[in-house]
Amino acid sequence: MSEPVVKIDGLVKRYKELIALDRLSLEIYDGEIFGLLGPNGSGKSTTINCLLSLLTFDKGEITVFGEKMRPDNYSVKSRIGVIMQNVAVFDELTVYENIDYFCGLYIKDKATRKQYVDEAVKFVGLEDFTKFFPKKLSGGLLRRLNIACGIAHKPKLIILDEPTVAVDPQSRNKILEGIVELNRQGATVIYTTHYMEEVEQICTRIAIMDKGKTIAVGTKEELKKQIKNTETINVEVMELDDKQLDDIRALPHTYEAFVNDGRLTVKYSGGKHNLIRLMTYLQEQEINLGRVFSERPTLNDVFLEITGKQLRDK
Amino acid sequence: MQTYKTFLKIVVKMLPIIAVYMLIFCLLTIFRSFEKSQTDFSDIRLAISIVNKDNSPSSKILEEHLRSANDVVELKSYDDEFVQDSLYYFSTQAVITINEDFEQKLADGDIDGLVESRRLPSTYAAQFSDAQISRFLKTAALYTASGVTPEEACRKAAESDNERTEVTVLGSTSESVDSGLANFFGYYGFGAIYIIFSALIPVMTKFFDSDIRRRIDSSPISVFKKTLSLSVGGLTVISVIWLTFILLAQLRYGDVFSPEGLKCLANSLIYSLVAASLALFFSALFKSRDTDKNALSGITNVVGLGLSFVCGVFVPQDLLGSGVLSAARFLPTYWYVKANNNIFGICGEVSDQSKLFGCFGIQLLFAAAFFALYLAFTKQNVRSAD
Repeated sequence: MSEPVVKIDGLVKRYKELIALDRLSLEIYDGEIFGLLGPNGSGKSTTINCLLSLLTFDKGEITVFGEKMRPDNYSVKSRIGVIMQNVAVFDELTVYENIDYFCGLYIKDKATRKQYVDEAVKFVGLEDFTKFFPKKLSGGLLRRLNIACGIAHKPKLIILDEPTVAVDPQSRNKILEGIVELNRQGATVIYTTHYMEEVEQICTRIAIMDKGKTIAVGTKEELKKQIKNTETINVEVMELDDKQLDDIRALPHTYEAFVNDGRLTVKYSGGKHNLIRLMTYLQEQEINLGRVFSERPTLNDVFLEITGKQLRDK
Repeated sequence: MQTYKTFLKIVVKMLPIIAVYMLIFCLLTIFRSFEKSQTDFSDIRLAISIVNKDNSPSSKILEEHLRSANDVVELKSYDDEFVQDSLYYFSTQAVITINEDFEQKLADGDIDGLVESRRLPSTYAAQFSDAQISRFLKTAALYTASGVTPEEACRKAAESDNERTEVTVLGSTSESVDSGLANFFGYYGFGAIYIIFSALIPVMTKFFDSDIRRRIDSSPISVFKKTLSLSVGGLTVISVIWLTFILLAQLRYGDVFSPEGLKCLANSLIYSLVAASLALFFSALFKSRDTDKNALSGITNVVGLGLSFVCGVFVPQDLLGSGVLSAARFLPTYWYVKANNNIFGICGEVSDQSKLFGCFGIQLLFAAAFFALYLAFTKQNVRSAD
């Protein structure tokens, strides 16, 4: 594998007694959409802030584009684009002026900047709103402006820190499509979120974080292979006695079966035709069925199995 | 350069608000400069009506004396009802009746009931007219007791009452000094803080907002360049504000480039720097661009009015208590006002070049201290981004 674009080695960040990052190590390679997935407070934003030299850290080393990251490493900073969770634009400037200002922090040449700003406006679909002030934009359009301000200078590394929080589904899809497009155009993307569906949808490799550590790193397939569960079948049943439940538990590849609120949940580890086998047994027992559905393991299952808790905050 | 341009762009967008503040304070400053400080005292004249029932030579002297000291209003009728109405409608402030046998009773040394006065109770006019008559009668009685005729006694009492003492307030603006210019620049001590705060803090807080700051700090712009751009932006804004004030002073008074005027220019420019550095310091304390406007206005009012009251912008320094002045020495506005007093030789200050430069120096030290605090806070904010 080539030299990583970002290399984080043994990063430690403490807030007094609290250890926010605990010997965190990561390698992110050129062309990846790298997902940092974890619940709130797992250390994702702290990692990003350390990576951008916005925050000092206690131990470890961060290398970006092969250079040690420091607050004054402007050659590295000039190749990074940042999109934060909160919309960071000036209310007094129009859409165009905002993009122009943030692009101007990177691009000095006026003509090039104008071209880049126009392209960014087009990329996020804000052509009809260039003269609008941010307060006149809807939440989704504001997010798009936020993204345009972060990517107008055509960075090689784009860091998105939970850019879809409190965004409607339509705008969320538009944003995710945009990120994939930016990656297709050659940018390496680091994407932090606590929405596992987004990570599954766009990320080529994922690090799952909890309590300041990476608990698993890999592609989504690799991560899912790390856990026992390969398939979960849910069946709505009218009634099921203990003997029948024990029989189901005895079916091949079954490692867990239980009934909750009239729903039978059976979990499998490997094997083929698990659904057919289960349906055959239920038919033989003349058990009345409702809806039946089979699920592949999600990243939440990965997180649940490794940490014993749900990924999403309940 | 990009940050500097954007800073000015935001200032321009906020120009209507700044212009309104400027207009209000310029008008207030100009109106205040029209006020003339009271340097002497003059007698109060009441509107009175006189009824002389005695018509003796003595009573005529009293009547004449009252006429000369007051403005006499002749009423159509002196019956009780009409007099009551006249007093109620302030047509007259007192109706004085010199009773019959005035001269005779005065000769006997009996001054009770010689004169009756009908006036609105509990008014200064009532007290004043009573005091006027009482003073005259007591003096006249004193003379009659020593064997002088009532007529002569009344004449001497009138002469005695007409003697006046010239009263002049010491330490006021000297005749040669244009007190309007002194007032104008004195009031700038408040106006500068108010307008510079109103113009700078809202704009600066946009750049110190934690989200925008993180975005800017992630870019290849150094903290030094960013701070420099914002500081130069601030300087540009205060220069425009200061020049506008100077232009107004020149238009109104025309002698801004006189020796005193030039010293005022230097003093007000240095003070503008103090106000700007103080505004930068307060801006750095805010971390959100959505900072409550009431909070900003609160700070502007508390700092602006507080400094002005304590340091002698509104009340001359020579009228402030020594305790207040001792505390005010630790505030920049005190040295601005003191320098202004020094330039015009007012409020107990004597024009002295070395003392004036001392005041300038102390103000510059305050500006440097506030600017250093601003830099320290911005640096601290950068390192505590989360």
